Amino acid sequence: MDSDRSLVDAAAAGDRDAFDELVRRYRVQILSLARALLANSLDADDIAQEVFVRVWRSVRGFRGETTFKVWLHRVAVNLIYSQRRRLWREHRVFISAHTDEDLSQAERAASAENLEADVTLRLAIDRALAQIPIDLRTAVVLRDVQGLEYKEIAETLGIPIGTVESRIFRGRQRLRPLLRPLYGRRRASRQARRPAG
Amino acid sequence: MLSCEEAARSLLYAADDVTLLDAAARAALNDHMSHCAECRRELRDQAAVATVLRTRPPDVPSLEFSAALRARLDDTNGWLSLADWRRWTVRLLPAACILVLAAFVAPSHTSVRPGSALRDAPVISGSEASEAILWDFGAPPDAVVEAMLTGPQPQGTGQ
Repeated sequence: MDSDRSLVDAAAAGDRDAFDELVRRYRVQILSLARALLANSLDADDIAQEVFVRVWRSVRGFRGETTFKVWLHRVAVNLIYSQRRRLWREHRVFISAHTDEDLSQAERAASAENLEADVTLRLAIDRALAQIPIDLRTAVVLRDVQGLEYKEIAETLGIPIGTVESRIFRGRQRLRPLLRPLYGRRRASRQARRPAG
Repeated sequence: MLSCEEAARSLLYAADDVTLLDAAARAALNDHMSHCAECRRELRDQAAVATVLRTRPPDVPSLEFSAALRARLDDTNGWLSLADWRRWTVRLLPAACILVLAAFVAPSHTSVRPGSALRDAPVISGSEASEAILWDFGAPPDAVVEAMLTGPQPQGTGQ
């Protein structure tokens, strides 16, 4: 049962308030997806907005063959892939990970406040993600960051569920050495945040 | 007992949440794990990576993001009404009806006017003209093709 269905139906009939509610439900997820897959590129925010604009334009044609969440993620992934190809063609510069200088700057700032700690953690994770191939990255992000089910990921990407499993397995293997130092730091950060007594 | 390859799929799900496996799959995986240190390490690593990724703090949209998105959606509203073919179809319906009526009525106004030289011309229907050309074995091929494609040949004025 698609919990968004009634809102989607209302939005398809032109109800802008219903669509705004859908935006409120998913804007954090879509922004996170864009930033995680585009390595926090400046274009990520623009792409996240464009996802909702495209969906608003075409919501009338949504047939309900999948859930709204899957459809939204499919639109988002397609737009993000297009953007990566465009950037690659125009600038001949791969959307790269943040440099070590960026991270160390962020790391220094992060020791002060939890907010900065979150930013640091996010930057570090995105930096690791940017170092693995995009197909593995997409599958891992959809599963572990976005929390989609395996079946939903298969529907989003239009690939068999076995391929999804394989990509997630290999993606995590590639991420293991990149995230291992972070894992210890995350635990330490959690302990430091715990109120004393 | 499962091979390492066969165990990999169960291992992946177990790293996410062991309850995703049914009892039989869980028992088979446990049996394999009890003998395979490599798969035990793989399970631990897969789970560790998944755990770190799940702790990635969400990106909370800024006020600027929300305002910009709202503005873009508002713009799209205007664009949508222009592109709404259903609305345009309804609005253009009267004009479409007039055009259809005009198309039916128009041939009667283009008939031969009284006093025209055409009035005295021998009447040859379009089909007769086409047929004449088709039976004329000396007719150039272009004229035959044209007769087939365009129907009646232009007739002389009779003068």
